[in-house]
Amino acid sequence: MSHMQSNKISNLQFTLFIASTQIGLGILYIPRDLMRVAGTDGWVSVILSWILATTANLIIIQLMKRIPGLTIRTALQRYCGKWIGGLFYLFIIAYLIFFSFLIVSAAVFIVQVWILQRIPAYYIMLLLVAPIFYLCCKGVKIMGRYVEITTMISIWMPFLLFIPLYRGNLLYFLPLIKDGLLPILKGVGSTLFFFLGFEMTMFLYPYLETKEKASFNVIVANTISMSVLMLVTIVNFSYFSPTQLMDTLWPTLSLLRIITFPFLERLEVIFLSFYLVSFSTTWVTYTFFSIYGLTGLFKRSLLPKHFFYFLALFVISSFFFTLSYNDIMRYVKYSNILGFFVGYVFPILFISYLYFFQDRIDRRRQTCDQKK
Amino acid sequence: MRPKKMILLLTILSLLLVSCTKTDIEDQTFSLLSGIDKKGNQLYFYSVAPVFHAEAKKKIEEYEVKSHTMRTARNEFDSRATALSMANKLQLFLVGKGLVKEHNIFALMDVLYRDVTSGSNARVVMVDGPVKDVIKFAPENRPRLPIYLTKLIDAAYLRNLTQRVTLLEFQWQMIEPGITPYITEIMLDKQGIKLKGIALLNNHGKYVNSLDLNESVMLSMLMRKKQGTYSLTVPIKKGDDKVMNKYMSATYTSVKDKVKVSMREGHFHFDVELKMDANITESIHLVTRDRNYLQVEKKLKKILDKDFKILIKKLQKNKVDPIGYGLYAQAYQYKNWKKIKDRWPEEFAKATFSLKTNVKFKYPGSVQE
Repeated sequence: MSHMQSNKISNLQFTLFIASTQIGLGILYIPRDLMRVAGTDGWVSVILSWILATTANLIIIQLMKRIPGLTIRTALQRYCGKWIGGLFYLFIIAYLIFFSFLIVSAAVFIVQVWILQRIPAYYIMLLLVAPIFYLCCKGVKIMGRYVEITTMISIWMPFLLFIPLYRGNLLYFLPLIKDGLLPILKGVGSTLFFFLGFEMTMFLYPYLETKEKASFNVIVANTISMSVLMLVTIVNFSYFSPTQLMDTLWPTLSLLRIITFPFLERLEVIFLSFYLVSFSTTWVTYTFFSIYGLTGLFKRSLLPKHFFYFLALFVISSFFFTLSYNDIMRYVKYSNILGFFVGYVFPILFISYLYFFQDRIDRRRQTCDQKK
Repeated sequence: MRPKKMILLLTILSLLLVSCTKTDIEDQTFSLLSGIDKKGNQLYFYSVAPVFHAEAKKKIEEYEVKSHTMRTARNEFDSRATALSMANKLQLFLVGKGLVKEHNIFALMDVLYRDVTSGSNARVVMVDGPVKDVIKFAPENRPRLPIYLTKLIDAAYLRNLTQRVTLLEFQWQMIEPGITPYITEIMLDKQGIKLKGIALLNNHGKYVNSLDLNESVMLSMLMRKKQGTYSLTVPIKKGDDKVMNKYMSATYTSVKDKVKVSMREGHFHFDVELKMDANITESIHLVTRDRNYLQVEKKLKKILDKDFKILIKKLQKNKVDPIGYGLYAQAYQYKNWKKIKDRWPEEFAKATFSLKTNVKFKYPGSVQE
């Protein structure tokens, strides 16, 4: 317990933690997916999925309130038994590991395509992994501060997107709701995954200082992510023609290319470099909680060497293979499905299980303890 | 703790490696202008790059190669140019009229969009005549050609004498079904390079017609994206003696257009209302002593109405819609639009227009008769 006591994070940090974990790879490709599925009405899907994600997030908060003083692992093992609980936990951890590897590889891929074409992948990987290692070793408190700093560093970036918006064509949004509700509902399918990252609430909640405000905090966090996604979506939709957007692989980066200054061309390179900083919070969070979960599962204490081995695997793997664009998109799809179960399905299942059985199990435990 | 320190050391040391791959500007050939043209059945590719070497007398190198695609042409350029040629600072992309008349150039430009390193803010320009002549044009009283051309186009664009179309915008125009592409048009005459106005392409990317400078200003008044200043001179009364003609020049500000779309007899009908304020800059033999501005205003309206109608008729005759009325049709008549989406230019030619200009004299200039 002392680990948690010394690692409290403030409510602001908690909010930014969730928001910046959510804002990741998604804003680079989701507008394109959305256009393919939902057409120009895709922005409605953003709002709908925001409502869904916030609800899911509040359910997680309610879940954590039901098990005060416990982490998700101890709660699972207490109420579901060592094996079944452990299995569920392993599933969550597997998702975290898979996703953290995927997202770092995706970052390497994007850097290689857009900025450093001639630098080998393992080199970029090495450079990206080093700060992750440092932050992870220091624990949640320092990571919380890091998140605050990255937010401050990257706060100007959304405003940059207003420049293409100025050249955009808002006529595309008319008429509102073009082809009925079905495409919009389909669009929710792809935007729902943008909000993944809020499942970190399960792990962060025990570290939170003032737990009463947690519900409010997650609403704010989800709203921040929603407004960023909304801005990106609207800018992309109005700047590109629908068919053009469907054919553009990284639309958000492509549209930044139109911004030029007399002394500067290809602004997207600079944007991307800064974006990596804010992107890094996602890797750091996922990596930390992957190892945190693994060591917890095997009853080991959290040591820097665990992170070292884990991240070394990243670098070594990048020696042997690098992911292509299609690989990344395929794996993102898989991880989204996993994430859907972890973020949306699992909390509902667990909380309804607790609703019915928590009292009974607690009572039985108490009588057992008294007998001893 | 030891591995942590080791990694920190490695990271810091690796940053030093950056200096190993230092590149001097002399060792780069920035292709600022590239072009395609057709002679006979052969494709010719052009590239112009500045030379930074101190010893070089001529500060620019230009190449013409016969090749198959832009990428194969790059190898040819590399085999001739001073250093590695790079396309990421591309400012201009010239195409010959002979090529655009017969072929869809957009298909040939694929590398400019697929390769993320190529600059996408290059202006797409059509040359009335061979591209080669423009490339070879290097008078002593002008800056280097790419810089000169860039400045020429940007300045003219501010006055709306032409439109500046970047590669990304060109892609948008080609792909968007509700608009047909248009690009800047230049030519080379005895006095040098001259801006001709706008070249109109049809939706297959082939050249169909041109707009002169005056028409360009009027076209840009109708466009959705409005910027810069509009200065128009209209003849109020024309006679045989050119000196005695009545003329009226004005800069038009706060130009606003309202477009309403409806259906009439199965075709689209556009109600366009153009509102603007006029600041008179020149009036030759016109404003009478009794300050009858109202009459002049009426006359001006009538003439502008007629001119705009002629312009739209010209567009309809050529089946091109550079203003993008298709976008309005999509926004306000989506159900009907969906049916004719793929053959919009033909449908545009059949559409009817009722155009109304609403000019208000705001400032008669600092002379008052």
